[in-house]
Amino acid sequence: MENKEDKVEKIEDVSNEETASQSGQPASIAAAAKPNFGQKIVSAFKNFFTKEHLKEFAKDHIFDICALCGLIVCLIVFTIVPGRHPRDGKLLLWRPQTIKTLISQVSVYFILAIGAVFIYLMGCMDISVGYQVGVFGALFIMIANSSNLFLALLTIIIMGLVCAIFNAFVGAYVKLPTVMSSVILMQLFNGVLLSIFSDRNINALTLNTDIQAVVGSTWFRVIALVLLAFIAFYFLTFTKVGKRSRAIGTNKLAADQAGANLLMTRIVCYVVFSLFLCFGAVMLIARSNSIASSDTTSYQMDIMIMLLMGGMPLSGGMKGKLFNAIIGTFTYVLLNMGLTLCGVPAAYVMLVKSAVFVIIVCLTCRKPGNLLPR
Amino acid sequence: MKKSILKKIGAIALSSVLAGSIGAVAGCGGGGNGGGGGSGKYAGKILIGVQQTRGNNYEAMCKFLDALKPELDFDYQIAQMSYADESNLTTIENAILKGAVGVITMTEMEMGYTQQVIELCEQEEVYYAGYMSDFWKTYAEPTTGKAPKDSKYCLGSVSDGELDAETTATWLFEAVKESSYRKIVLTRSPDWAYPRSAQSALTFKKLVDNYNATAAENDKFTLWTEGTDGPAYVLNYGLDAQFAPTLTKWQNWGGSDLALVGLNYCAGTIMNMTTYRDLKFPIFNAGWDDDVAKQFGAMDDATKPVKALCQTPCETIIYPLVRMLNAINGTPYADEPVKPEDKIVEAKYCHIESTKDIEDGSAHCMNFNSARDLKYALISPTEVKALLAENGGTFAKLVETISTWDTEYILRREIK
Repeated sequence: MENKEDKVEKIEDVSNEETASQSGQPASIAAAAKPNFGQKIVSAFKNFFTKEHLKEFAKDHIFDICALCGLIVCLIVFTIVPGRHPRDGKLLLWRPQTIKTLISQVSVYFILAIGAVFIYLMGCMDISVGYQVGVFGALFIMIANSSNLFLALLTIIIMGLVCAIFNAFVGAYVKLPTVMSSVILMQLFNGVLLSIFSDRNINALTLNTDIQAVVGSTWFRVIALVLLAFIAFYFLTFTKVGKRSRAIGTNKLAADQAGANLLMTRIVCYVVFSLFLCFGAVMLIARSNSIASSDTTSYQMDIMIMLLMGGMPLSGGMKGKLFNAIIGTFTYVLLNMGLTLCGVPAAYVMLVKSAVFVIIVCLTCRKPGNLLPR
Repeated sequence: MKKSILKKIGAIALSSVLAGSIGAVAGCGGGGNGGGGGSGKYAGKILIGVQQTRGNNYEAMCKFLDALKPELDFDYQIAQMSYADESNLTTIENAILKGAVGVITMTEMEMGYTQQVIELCEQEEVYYAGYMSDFWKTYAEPTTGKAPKDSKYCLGSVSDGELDAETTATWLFEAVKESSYRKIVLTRSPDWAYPRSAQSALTFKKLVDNYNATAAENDKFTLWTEGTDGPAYVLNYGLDAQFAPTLTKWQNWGGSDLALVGLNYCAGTIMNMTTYRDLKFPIFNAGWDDDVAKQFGAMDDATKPVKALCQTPCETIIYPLVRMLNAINGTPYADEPVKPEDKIVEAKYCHIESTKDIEDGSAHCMNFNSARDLKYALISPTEVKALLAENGGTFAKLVETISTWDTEYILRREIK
């Protein structure tokens, strides 16, 4: 009885003989000509950098390339222009303390932006982000101060899930644009925030447990951001939910007719988004061990700007990527920090950021029908 | 095709304009290293975080600092602080990373980010101090209070007005008593600022009750009873549109007998609303908000609502500034305070309650002089320089200098 291995060898021999007969070479040489893994990599690399392929790649990813170039330009400009620190003589942007502070400032936005990708891919938008994060943060502190951190985290996660289901159902059953459900949540949470702070005649709530030492440390932030980015990447790339969310963003009707469960996809995406909001709230508290009533009110616009800066189409769809959120977040925060390091007065920083935003919108605006989210 | 080419040309043009503007603004913004003259030892740039970039107190402070710059060899940069901790923290972080050697802020010192700021100050060897604020609530915070108390980089603060709650309340009561208004609404704004003003409200009420016990029937005070924080009605800063019905309700209740007593800087809020809504009633105010001095008028002047006001003189900034320069130069006072509570210093209010007071203020005090004339500064740059430790100054002398600046001194001293 021939075993499997013998059969495989025979097939290989036949294949080599066929190759040999076709090429006029002996079978042993034909066997040696079969590419190995390393050669395959080199071959793929060479194929990638052919003129035609590069042209095709650039055409498909033009906005991503522009966004990346924008970040690189910012890095170069803010390396050169601010100069060196007056005391230690090191380049201002690349001092260890600057990098640490940049990571600290980026961390909250990063988490919120990659969570928002799940929503924006579907062509949806949420303008209650800032108020949700504010309320989650305030509740986290209030519960943690009176009970424990775990219960506080669990509570805000449950609240986030409720908000997610609300957003998903309003869009699906009431047939309102999802931005309208977020307007409802925005008003609701605005009122909750005001009453939390006004009733106590305070501007900020302070956490009695010091979480800054752990959660606020640079290494924790870096590990958390990388981990969350990988989880989001896995979700978006290798799960049905990720693919369906893109399909909904591209063409909702086609996605529905292709068998995608729109309600379930929407619910899952909003749930993931809410979880990221909860983590973002905790990361925000870790920055200063407190949260103020007006800390988060501009987050919804900031996130939209960041995603646009990263090349994300606001209408969502196949062209949206996690990459957009990552690049956009770093560009936005770097712009803010870099302009200050350059000595631009605070009043002008906003003007410059607005000008950059206008340029990006002009460069990246697509067909009129695809501009606005649903 | 034509459209896409035009788009590309437009984008390139915009980018060039943007790059040019960043370069130009960066070139002219942020100031340079020129403190000028003086000892020749340039201290560096100090970030001053302010609540407002307008108003008589702010303008006077800037002019005073500009005069001190060449004498004391330092530079400063103004940053508008907000009510958002996160935004303030980012502003301070970026300024420290840029190379600021010190941070003086007017923001409430019990902010949660104080600890984070102190940690960054310790890493970067930058000094932190407060101006027109106090640290007493910060020190009381269980988690964030330790850092400002224990850190050698936290230099303390000079308060906005007397530190006890009673003095201002008593003065406001006396001012209202002299007037004919007997229906009073006690207010505070914003709700979280001046934490002692809640105690001030209770003091005011006690004085009203004591007065009413012996006053004639038609001379008794009536306080608005629907206070939101004890006897005081707290105005949430900025919610202008929501106050119109409340103001109307007050006016309907009090009529021509109504007066508003602002226990801390709410005059700006109220004055905005009186302008927008054409509601006229007198305001007796404490605090430095906006152009409150411009709105001061005699009791019978219906066009200007403010009938009494008090502000701390802008020159009290010498406390955090001198302490900071000593620290930067590595020359602390021989009598440097040991206890953190001793680093909080009281500055007295200058009380204005008549047109004569405002006229005297205009001729004796930078705060109230319309041109912010330096000749009316309470202390000259040379005298400030003499307060530095390297020139023989002491902590006791610095505190004593500030403590002499009371109403009588500010309004009636002889100008040399």
